[in-house]
Amino acid sequence: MTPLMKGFDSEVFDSQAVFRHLLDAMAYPGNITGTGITLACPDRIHPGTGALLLTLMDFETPFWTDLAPDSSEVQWLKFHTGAPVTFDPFDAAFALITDTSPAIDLNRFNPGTVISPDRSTTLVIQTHGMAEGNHLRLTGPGIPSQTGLTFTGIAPDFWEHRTRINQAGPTGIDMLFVHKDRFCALPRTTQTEIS
Amino acid sequence: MTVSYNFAYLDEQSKKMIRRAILKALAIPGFQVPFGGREMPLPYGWGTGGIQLTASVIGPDDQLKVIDQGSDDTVNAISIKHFFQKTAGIAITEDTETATLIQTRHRIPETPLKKGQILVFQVPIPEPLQFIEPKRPQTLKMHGYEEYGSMHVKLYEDIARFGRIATAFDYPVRVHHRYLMSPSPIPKYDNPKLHRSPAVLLFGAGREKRIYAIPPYTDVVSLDFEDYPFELEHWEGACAVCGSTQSFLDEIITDDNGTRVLICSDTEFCRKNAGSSQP
Repeated sequence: MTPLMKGFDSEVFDSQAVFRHLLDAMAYPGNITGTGITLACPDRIHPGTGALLLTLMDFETPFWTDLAPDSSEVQWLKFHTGAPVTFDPFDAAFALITDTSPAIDLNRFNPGTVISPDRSTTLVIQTHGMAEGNHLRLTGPGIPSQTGLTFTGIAPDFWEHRTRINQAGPTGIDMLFVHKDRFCALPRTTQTEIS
Repeated sequence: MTVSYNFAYLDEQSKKMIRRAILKALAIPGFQVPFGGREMPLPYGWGTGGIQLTASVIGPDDQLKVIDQGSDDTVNAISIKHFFQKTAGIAITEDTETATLIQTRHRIPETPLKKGQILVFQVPIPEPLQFIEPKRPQTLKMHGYEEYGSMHVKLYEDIARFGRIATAFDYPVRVHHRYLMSPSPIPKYDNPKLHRSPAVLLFGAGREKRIYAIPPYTDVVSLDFEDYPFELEHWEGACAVCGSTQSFLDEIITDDNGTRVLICSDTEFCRKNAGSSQP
């Protein structure tokens, strides 16, 4: 049996550093940023994903992922956060998608309710690559006029599906996209247009 | 024996919970996110909500500025600065331009904020509909279904009674054309500074245990009517210290005969302005 990998060097300062990058990412959607720390993670978890989930999750946040529950990745996340694994993605406060080749069914996740739109799933999606670009045009709060991103490994109809899920508002799914140690945020208010 | 605290007083799990609430607040502009407000070592009304936000956001590299009614030197601002110096060993500044994190009670600094800066507001009553509908389950529904007509009725009643909208502070706004929001008891003079601000604006209500936010570059509209548009207050005169006519002025009584002068409420702005206008 392989020994469990360690988590943050400093619970206090690493999580604070990551959170500040996350706060910035959420406030300025589409900005691709690092996490501010280095973190070694199990195979199928990108360092950015590991940093974000260790910063955000604890015993109060049910967690769903497309990885097997007994995988070393899930055991690592459970050990360092205490987050309970749920088998129904609708119950998850955080959901991690590591494989984007099967179509992502956003209806499986919780968009919150009209009364409590905050009680929604935050989705973390590991991509094959992302960069500033003009494939996807972004507008909305946090963006002065418009900005653009290019993702690798995400099907074009995903963006249409995302628009449908979020357009009713205030309910919706907030998303974090990760590639290796970099990430960006697309909260529900960010509107996308494929160009 | 010395007593030591975790960095910035709060334990790490509390910070996590507050951080999650902050992210949801940014994702749903103007929506009041309930959070598990913690007991802080100072009474409600002294900024317990704002302090919990600051404690969850602050890091060793931050430059913290704290103001109370625009002033860097009033008791609430001084106590909060001491609190973070003691529990986080944090660097304190009065300079609005170099501060990375600003906690404020009831004012927005006159110096324009920049991208990346975070402004934390202390909020006594987060629910703008509270005095119209005291029942929380009811106001939740009103927000959910955008039932905001009663707020317009309240403003209309002002006009019917006084001939103008008499609300001078905590003037209600619509955020991102959706949620009705209390901007906290800032003077309505500061409302336009909320509109499409490049900075991150976070609001914390400790007693009511709610967090809300306005992301940068977000539309913030003060409620009004076509024939009674939103208007800013203005003053007959200038600041007695720096001569500014471009800042929010407080009226100060200087003697027993009721002599009054106007001075800037933002002390840092006033000091800088006085320095630059001297020959």
